[in-house]
Amino acid sequence: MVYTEIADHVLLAAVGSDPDAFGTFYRRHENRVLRYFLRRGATPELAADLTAEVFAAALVAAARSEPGGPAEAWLCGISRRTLAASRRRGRVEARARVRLGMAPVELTDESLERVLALEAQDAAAAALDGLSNLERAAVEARVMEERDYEDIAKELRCSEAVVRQRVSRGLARLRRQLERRKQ
Amino acid sequence: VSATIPELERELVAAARRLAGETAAAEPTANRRAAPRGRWRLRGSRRRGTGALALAIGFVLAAGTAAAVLSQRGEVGGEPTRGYGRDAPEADIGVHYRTRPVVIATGRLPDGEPFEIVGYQQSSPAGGQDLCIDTQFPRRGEGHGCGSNSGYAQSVSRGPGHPTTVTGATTAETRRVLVHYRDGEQGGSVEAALELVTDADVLTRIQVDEPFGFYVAELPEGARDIAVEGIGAGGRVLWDAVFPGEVDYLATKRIRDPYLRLKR
Repeated sequence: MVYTEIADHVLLAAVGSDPDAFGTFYRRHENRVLRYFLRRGATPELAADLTAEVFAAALVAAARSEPGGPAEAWLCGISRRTLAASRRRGRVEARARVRLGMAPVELTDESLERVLALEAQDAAAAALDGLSNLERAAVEARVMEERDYEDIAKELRCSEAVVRQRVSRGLARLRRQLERRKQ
Repeated sequence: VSATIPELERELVAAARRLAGETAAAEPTANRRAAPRGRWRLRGSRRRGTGALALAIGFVLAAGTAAAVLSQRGEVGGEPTRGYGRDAPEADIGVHYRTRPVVIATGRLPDGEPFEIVGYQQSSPAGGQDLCIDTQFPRRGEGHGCGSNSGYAQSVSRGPGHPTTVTGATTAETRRVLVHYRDGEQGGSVEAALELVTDADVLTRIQVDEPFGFYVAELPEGARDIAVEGIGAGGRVLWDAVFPGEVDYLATKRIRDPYLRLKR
């Protein structure tokens, strides 16, 4: 069954009769959880391992009772506890996966690439925040939305030369920020 | 929308299916509640009867997932900064990673350039497996391998426009490594960056029993006649070794290669 516009609590309530509902719930929230760990310095594979444990714990908990409050906050709480427990033990917590009899997930190259892309997007988004409003608007319009300079100039009410300059300066600043971050 | 990690989604849905099956089996039919909307029904009470068995099976299946250690990328125990693929680049000729590449030591050259020593077991096409130790310079985006945990003078990396880089393994008792060389008519010596690999977890992961050291040194571009010596805690020379130079076959007295003998 395809679930698209269905609320999280309904998806979780349906897991008992239609396990695919949990797949939809997972797809909806997996990147948020992966990012939670990536931003805290986890490698892509470690983030994937921790994410597996978070959703396994969510599945076990959902089978027992309805989570109170929004799913995002609920998952964030589980992520925080999973990370804390893993740090305490010095290894990734696996209690929920053990409880569910889940086999270890071996990431494929494609999945690893997607998680790495997520990490790169995050770095780029964080770097965009460091630009001035004018530069950010120009970079977003030109690089992310791939619009032409004439169109952007009209919208931003300035000349094409000014837009080019803002894009160029913005990209140079982004490059410097990302290089600093890499070091 | 497809998942970022579809294999995890499949595993979770399979787990949800098992869980639903357990719940259904644990609930007497008469006690099952009606679905609140459409075909959905509320979840049943917690399973009991099959719990112990599922836990026992689950423990066996999932024991391997707890192996990852919380270390950051580029730190000892973590993934190398420069990513390694899921399998060795030589997979098409039968060489595969037998353990995941892991940072076993990190250090800096005297000019501040950071490097990572990366270790892993790799299968050989002939069967069996060998330890591989790579030296990675993440900031430069370059690296070389694969060395071993034995061999005082292991590799010389040189090329036009590049410094000559030498690496080798040492005993765990070695405290300093001095590299001597000749550059033109001048002789020179540098102290190598020596890192000891003593972390028990890391040694287990690369399947090595004993701690060891690994050194990296950069020499001038044209360095030749390179020799190395390891010095212990008391300043005593514990070992020494010579890096093989570029062999001039035609000048060698004992030529065994028939092609070269013919050419001569």
